[in-house]
Amino acid sequence: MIFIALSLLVNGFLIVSAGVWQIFNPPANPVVLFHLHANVWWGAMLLLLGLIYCIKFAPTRQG
Amino acid sequence: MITAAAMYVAPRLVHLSAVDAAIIIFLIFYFGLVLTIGFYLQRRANTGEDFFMAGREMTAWIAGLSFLSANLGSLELMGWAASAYQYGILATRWYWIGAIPAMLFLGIVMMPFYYISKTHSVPGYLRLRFGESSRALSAISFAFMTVLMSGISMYSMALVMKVVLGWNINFSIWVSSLTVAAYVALGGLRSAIFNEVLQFILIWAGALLIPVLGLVEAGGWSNLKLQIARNASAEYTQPVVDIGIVRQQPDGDSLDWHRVRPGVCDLVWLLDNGFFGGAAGACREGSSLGEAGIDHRRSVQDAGPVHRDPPRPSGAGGAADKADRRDNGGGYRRPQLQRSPAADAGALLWAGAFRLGNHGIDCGLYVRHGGKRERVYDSVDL
Repeated sequence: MIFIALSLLVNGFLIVSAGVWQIFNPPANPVVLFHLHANVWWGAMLLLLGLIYCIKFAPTRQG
Repeated sequence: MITAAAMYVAPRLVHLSAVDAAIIIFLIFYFGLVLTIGFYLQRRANTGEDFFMAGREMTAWIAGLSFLSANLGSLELMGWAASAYQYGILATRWYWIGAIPAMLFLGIVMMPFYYISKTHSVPGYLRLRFGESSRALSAISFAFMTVLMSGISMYSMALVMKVVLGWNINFSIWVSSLTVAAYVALGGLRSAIFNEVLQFILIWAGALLIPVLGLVEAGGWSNLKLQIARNASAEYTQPVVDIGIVRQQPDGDSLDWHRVRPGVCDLVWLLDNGFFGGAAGACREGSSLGEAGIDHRRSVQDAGPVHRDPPRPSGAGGAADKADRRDNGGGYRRPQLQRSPAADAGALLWAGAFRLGNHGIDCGLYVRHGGKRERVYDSVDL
């Protein structure tokens, strides 16, 4: 489980970071529905899920 | 060094600098993570039973997630998208008619036979029933299919890497296949299963956004249906009216192998998945749902006192039970079915051959553009 948690955490962090960076530096050829900034809120959801998993399944809590 | 690296980077089609950086960082992290899982589980793969059967200690939901993940590879994500684009809702017949009933039949009727025979694979079961020659034939046909099918899967994956990151196709295939080989070699089936659970989460986390954004872009479900009705023929949304054998397909082309294929494949999926566990699914990495280490002994113990006899196939009926009682040594009894090896071997070859042909066509290598068949990598100018 901790591997899944780490994966979600890192994945979410990278997606949010890329999304935030793109808000301030819009790409020359944006993807469809770029204005929705799906990478920001979707990445945030993954990040949150990863955080919850990391806390819940932390090795120190597993005994 | 730089020159050698540059050889592996082809001209890119999509320029996404911020996203590129995130993707590359995650890819490095991901490859490291799956290898870490392999190393982490290496110490638990001490015996053949550990390596090939994960010690028979996987819980049902882990084995189930792994099985689902094994059916969510690049072949499915790219192939089914291409198939839906080409045939419309007709493409869903593969699962609705071919795969789902077949998997239910496999799980309810056939799997108990596979399980009580205590074999490691479907070919192993065939050896119990028909002898070594049947097992050899099954193994060879499966190996032949797997080599080609894995090639298609890796090629589909490499196409994505090529389009998104500009990576050379051979480079992508070598890196990914060596990584998979490493973590499987290190931890065996247990490593494969846990990596597939990880992949299941990532695939769902990534793919779930597609229908959400797709519906937003299409203007909601109602507008989506309106656009399909306006831009495609009515048959594009008819899954069962044209069974694909006699009549023309939705794109209006005349009858040929590609037209016949969807109808025939319903039968193939039924046979292949129903009797042979979906050769790819059942034998992939030595696992099937029943043989991938689901601890059936524990469920038997939970249900009551431990019996000497193995769990009997509830769906097989009394005749099979009576046949099973012809004991072959006091232990587990070999299931006896009245089918000839020749018929079984023929069905295996049939299923294998059609699976090969269909995966080859539907893996996303071909799409239709205005009635003209083109290869995807031509259409995207790779």
